[in-house]
Amino acid sequence: MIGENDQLGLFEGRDGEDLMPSPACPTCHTRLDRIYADGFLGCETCYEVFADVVQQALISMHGTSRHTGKTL
Amino acid sequence: MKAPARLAIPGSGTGKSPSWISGSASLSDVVLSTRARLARNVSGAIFPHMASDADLARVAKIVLTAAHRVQEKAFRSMHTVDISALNDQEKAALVDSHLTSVAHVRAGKHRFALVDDNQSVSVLINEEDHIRIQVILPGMQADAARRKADAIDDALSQELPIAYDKHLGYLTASLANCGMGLRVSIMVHLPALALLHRLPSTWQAANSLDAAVRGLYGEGTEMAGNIYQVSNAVSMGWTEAQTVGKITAVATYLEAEEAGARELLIRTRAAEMEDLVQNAQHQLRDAERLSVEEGVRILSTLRFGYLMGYDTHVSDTVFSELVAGLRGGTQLIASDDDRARDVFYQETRRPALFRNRIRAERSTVAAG
Ligand SMILES: [Zn+2]
Repeated sequence: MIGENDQLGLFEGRDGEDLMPSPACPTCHTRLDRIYADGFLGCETCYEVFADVVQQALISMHGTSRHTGKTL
Repeated sequence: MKAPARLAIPGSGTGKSPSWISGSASLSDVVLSTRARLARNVSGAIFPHMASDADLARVAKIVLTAAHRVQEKAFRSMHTVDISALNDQEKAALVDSHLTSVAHVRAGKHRFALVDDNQSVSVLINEEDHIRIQVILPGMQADAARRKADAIDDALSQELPIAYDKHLGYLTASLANCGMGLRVSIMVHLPALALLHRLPSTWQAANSLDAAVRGLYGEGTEMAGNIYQVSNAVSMGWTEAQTVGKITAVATYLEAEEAGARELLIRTRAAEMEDLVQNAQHQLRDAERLSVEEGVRILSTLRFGYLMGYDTHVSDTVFSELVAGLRGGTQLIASDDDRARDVFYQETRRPALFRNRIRAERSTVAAG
């Protein structure tokens, strides 16, 4: 089950991961558990290496993970 | 539009209820101001909260250079403010004018704000994201504010590589802003709904319209004086124009609810409303000290009275000026000693400040 410090309350299926060190972004060293905790990423690379988690989180927060607004 | 004549609060009663002007509300009665904010990051740079001093310095340099290069076409008159060079009072003033955030002024070195002459546009460097473009306009002007921010974004994007993904949109430090990076907020004043204890159900309805609600000074602050910030709850899955449309729909809904509440209060509780306004006037007349909370509560009641037709002289202008001048920012910024000293100073000068401004308004009205 999800820990109580999972403020977003978004994620499931993390059983048994408690003893593993949380993976970190090679560029900024943000750890995955930080993203679970408060939804903050440290750099663009985080978006790539944690793509699955990011996608899940975006869907829970915004109802979608697809940008339909302004294009660069 | 010409303001209707103000009615004096009857001191020696004629036995009649005051003839309230009307229970109607307009969007500008309810929406005090509108803010549009865009969050952007420089591609290839670590986001501020994980960045080293050297990273922050580099980002500040390239964003400032880009901003100065596009100054001519994007901004009319921008001043560069080095936040870390400000004293606590200056920081508090920036926060009070909503030009930047408490987190930004507390964050340390390599933080900058570009501020225009009208204090309507600010570009924050190394806040939660590398770049925050913010436009504040009076009344309900969501589309205008959004377009102005967009124009500055266009200009800066020509000069800077921006962190962007074609599926996810603009990449931001917080996933809450990912996508459009846009937050459109309106500052609303809802005294009649508050008096009727209808705000909880009103916010439920606002939430169902995809809007989020906060207090006057942002997240986690008290809902002082029935002034609230309402903004879009999500930043993905909508276009910028749809976001403006949603916030406009919420404003229209709030205006109708507030108008209904005023009408009901006039019809059923006129004498009580009169007492309420009169009590606030007496409280201000007799006060030796006023806290920010007491101050905003009195102003809220006096503006409510003004809108209901009493001669409180707390017009929209007076209200906005005095609320902006409450200097609540000091309490959020200063060190403990300074804070205690400043809070005492502000509290003791506040009653006279309010009374003088209201007296000046009364003279203006009398002269006109
Ligand atoms: Zn990273």
